[in-house]
Amino acid sequence: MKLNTDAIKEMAEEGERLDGRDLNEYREINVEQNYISTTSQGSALVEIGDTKVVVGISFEVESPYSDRPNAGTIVTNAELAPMADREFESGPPQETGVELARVVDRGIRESEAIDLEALCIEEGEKVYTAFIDVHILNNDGNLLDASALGAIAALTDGYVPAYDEENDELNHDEVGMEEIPLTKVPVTATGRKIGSKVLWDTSREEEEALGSRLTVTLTEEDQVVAMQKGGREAMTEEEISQIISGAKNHTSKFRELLEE
Amino acid sequence: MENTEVEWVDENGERVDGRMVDELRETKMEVDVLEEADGSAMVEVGNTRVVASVFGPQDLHPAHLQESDRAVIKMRYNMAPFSVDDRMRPGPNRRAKEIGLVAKRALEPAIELEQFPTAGIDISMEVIESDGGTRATGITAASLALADAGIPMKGLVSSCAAGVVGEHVVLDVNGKEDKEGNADIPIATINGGDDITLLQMDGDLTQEQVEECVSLAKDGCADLHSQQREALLRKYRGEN
Amino acid sequence: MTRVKQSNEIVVPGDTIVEDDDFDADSGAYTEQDKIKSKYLGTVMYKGNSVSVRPMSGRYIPEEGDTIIGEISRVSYSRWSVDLDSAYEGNLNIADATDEYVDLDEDDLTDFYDVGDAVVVKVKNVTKSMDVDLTMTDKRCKKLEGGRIVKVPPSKVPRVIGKKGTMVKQINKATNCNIIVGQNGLIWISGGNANLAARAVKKVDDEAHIDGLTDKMAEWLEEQTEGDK
Repeated sequence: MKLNTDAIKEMAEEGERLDGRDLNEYREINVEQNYISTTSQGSALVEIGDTKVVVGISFEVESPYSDRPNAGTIVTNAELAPMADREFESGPPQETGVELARVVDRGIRESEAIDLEALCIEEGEKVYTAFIDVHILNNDGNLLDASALGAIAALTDGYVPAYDEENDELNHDEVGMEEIPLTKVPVTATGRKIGSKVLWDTSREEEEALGSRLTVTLTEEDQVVAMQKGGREAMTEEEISQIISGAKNHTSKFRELLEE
Repeated sequence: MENTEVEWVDENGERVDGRMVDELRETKMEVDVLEEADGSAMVEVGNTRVVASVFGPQDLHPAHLQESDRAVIKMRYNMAPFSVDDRMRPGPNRRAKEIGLVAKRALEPAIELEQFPTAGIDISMEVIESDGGTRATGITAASLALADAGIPMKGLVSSCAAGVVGEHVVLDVNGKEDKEGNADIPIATINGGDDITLLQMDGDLTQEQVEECVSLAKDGCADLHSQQREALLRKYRGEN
Repeated sequence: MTRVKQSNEIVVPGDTIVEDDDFDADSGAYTEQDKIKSKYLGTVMYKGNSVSVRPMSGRYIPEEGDTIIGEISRVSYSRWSVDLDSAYEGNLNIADATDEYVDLDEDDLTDFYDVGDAVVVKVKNVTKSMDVDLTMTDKRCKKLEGGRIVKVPPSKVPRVIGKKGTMVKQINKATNCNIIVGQNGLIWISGGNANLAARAVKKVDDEAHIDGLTDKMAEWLEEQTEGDK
């Protein structure tokens, strides 16, 4: 409602939010790994406040890209299930869904988090493809952070199924590699601007007052490996630096969660 | 084609997963699991897990779909890509669309659509983990979601499937029994009683076997119905 | 006479409440072969010979006489369309919106109410095909400025208001907020400790089915404002 959007903007300037949180405070986060235990090869349920996201990892055998014949491949997909939000409609991926998938994908691909060469079965012929499927079940804002966290939680939880050479197929019930080969653990946080202030972990209602946002993905060494700016308004250099610093703080808290 | 090498029911009367022929898998039900939806529920039957949601009554678009004297139901059934062993491509395929239609017909007779002229009610079922019986589990969950949303109904609809494996009639067919067994007959009933709102069949059976399956599945539906009641009441006993 | 379910008991759709043909099924209940059954997940209410069920939840359906909060969604030549958070939109005609003389060719309707404005309105009339006419001639009706709006299911509104207004007055006193409760479940909170008022409303929503809620809320509000003394 516009009345609430106006209230959110006014309050943000005073450093206040409708639910009483601080501008840089996250809602309660819950991560449950191995949520889909029988049919996927790595999974996680992530809840940030009432936002609920399930991410599943599935492996298939495919042929590699011609420019990288000895590397496995990654495919990231995000489904904004109509049940998640009265405004979501069934059908081909909307703008938000496509961007969500690409932002999650970029954080993992550009950081080279997955050791793709370890996923090669036969050079030039057969490689593992890791499918990262993000399924949004309830939208109460900050889908980006919930999805990215779900993806990395699922990857750190998962295994690579065994390749059955005789039948040329994967045996999903047999473990080929006990862990998905990761070279690093990239974690993502998004800072969002409302008016002149930066807020973290916005609710669905708060996002209606959004000016712009910046999603930052960092490695354990606080190296920045991916960024994405969204929203209709512009951002200054200071704001960008402020958000990167904030992201370092928040992602380290996420790492602690993942370690539990 | 039935896989005849499997011992479907052993000498102790145990099926491939240890159940007796007339035993339902372990079932868990929870309502009000999603905040945005007007009503929601999650039902787990063995390793099959389905989340259902209801939005409505609400404005229905496009306007030409509206009915002047009743609400119109839009039903969606979808399987998440990671819900099956061999990953599925995202989005509902033809099988999913057919299941959506059949599920809608299973639930409609119980709903008082006339209370909401011109409006729409959107029901959605997402399968997040599949091990057989997803449409039945979806219908059971959707009925809970409708009650949770405050939609007026004659009663709750519950659904389960009976089938034949080897020569045995079994209740609540799991994934393996469905894929490699002889037949699969899902049914749905209102209030765990005699009114059947869903009946489908795949297989190669005698009339007697069909009748035995229907009777067994009806018992299964009655069992599920009492669990549905419990799940709804539990929400208000603060134990949810 | 067999009362299967007692007054205030919670029932689910299809539950038998009474097995007696001397009873009548009222709102939320229906008759099937001499039994009165529930249509909803809700609470049983007996009034003389009639049995009704009050649902726990459900979207708002406009009823004549309701005072509600809505948002202007469209401005047309001589009227406004109002989003009531319902399957049914409301129409506010110029004649029902203001006593001022309005020249439709000269004046701009947006001078009165524009898209996005939140308003308190009253339901004047609802037709069988669910055309909803609104009016602002009641003195409680107005455009809302500032504050915030929180939502509860319409079925919880009586609890938020309380018997003779006791619950809302209690919240108002503890928080110093202006509170307007719409029958459609939209509640406007302005001034004072708005955050506490919003939390109080949510608490009533979550615990509406519990006995002795008014006293419980009084205690809770007391605790929450302790630090301010």
